[in-house]
Amino acid sequence: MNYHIFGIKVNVACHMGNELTYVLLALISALGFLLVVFIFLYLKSQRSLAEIQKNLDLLKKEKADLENAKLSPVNDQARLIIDAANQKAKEIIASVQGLSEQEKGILNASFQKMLAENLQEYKKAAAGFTQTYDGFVANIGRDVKARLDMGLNKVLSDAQAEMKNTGLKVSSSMENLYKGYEAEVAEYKKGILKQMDKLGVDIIKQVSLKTLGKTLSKKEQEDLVVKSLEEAKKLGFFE
Amino acid sequence: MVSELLQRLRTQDDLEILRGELDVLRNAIYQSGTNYSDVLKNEVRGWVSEIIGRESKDRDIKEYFDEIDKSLSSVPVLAVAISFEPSEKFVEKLSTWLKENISKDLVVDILFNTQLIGGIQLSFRGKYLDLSLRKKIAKELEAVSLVGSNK
Repeated sequence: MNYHIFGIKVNVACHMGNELTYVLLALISALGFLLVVFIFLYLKSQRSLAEIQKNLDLLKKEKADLENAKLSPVNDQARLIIDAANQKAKEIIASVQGLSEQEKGILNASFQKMLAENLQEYKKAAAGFTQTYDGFVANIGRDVKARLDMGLNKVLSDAQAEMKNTGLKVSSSMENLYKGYEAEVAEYKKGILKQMDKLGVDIIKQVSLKTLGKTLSKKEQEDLVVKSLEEAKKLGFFE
Repeated sequence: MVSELLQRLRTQDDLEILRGELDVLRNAIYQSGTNYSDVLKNEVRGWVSEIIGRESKDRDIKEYFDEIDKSLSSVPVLAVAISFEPSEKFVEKLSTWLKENISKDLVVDILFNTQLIGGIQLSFRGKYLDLSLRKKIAKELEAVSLVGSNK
């Protein structure tokens, strides 16, 4: 018996036709299975990409929110630090007159402490922002994180720059404060020296007066009174 | 006429004591049942009694006291501050000098102030004069300054 398969004349026995059919069926089945697997993998891949895209969108949104909502308080904090530092500097400069070295030391320490506390608060706020961001990105894939890290680095560098800027401004405030301090202290020292001079002269006077007063005898005192009366008369005091 | 009473006064205290004695005598004149002569003899100092008795003899006693009161009210008082507590002798010396050199009826009100060191501060008829040693020394030391400390 002759068969034509794909234009090829095959002459096989009838019993061999059944075996070929089986082979073809098996081949077709294998191809179908592979197709299903490919479709399944494709759909799964699409779903994964969509999820990643969704996460990415969410991340971008969160990032924008963080930048707007979280960084603003940090900036506000920085402004508060500067304002507080300036205010405190004004107060100290205003009150520096007449201060002793010890009092100035106490004020200085107080000012330093205040600055340190404010800067600490600022750093805490900035660190809070970083922690929130890190906590968020820890749950997504490395590739997405890597891409977002670029944005994060920018955000962090902005925050650091802001912090550094605040530090510079605070340093500038400190510098101005101490310039004012130096001027005030110089003026204060000048005043003290004048007072010391006056005090020294006063002491000389007191010692002179006491010494002279004690060295005068009763008779000398009495004679001095009479001489003074005569002087008053000469001056025309009784006229 | 200036009463001898006024000439015997040396200090403000003397003046106040005399005023008190004159009040007692004046009351004795106006109060019934009080013998003026007994009061004059027993209630006031001897020299006061003697001068008043002598000066008011053959005169209207009320008129005499009015005249004394008027004179006392115009007695000039010189306030003198000195740096030591004066002895009775010195008060006498001071008063004598003032009566001889300024006015016979002048009385002195002596104040004690150790801060003066020496000399006197005078206050008289609204005028003031400081002739104390304190002021003189202070004036001398006015230009003194501690060398180098006022740079």
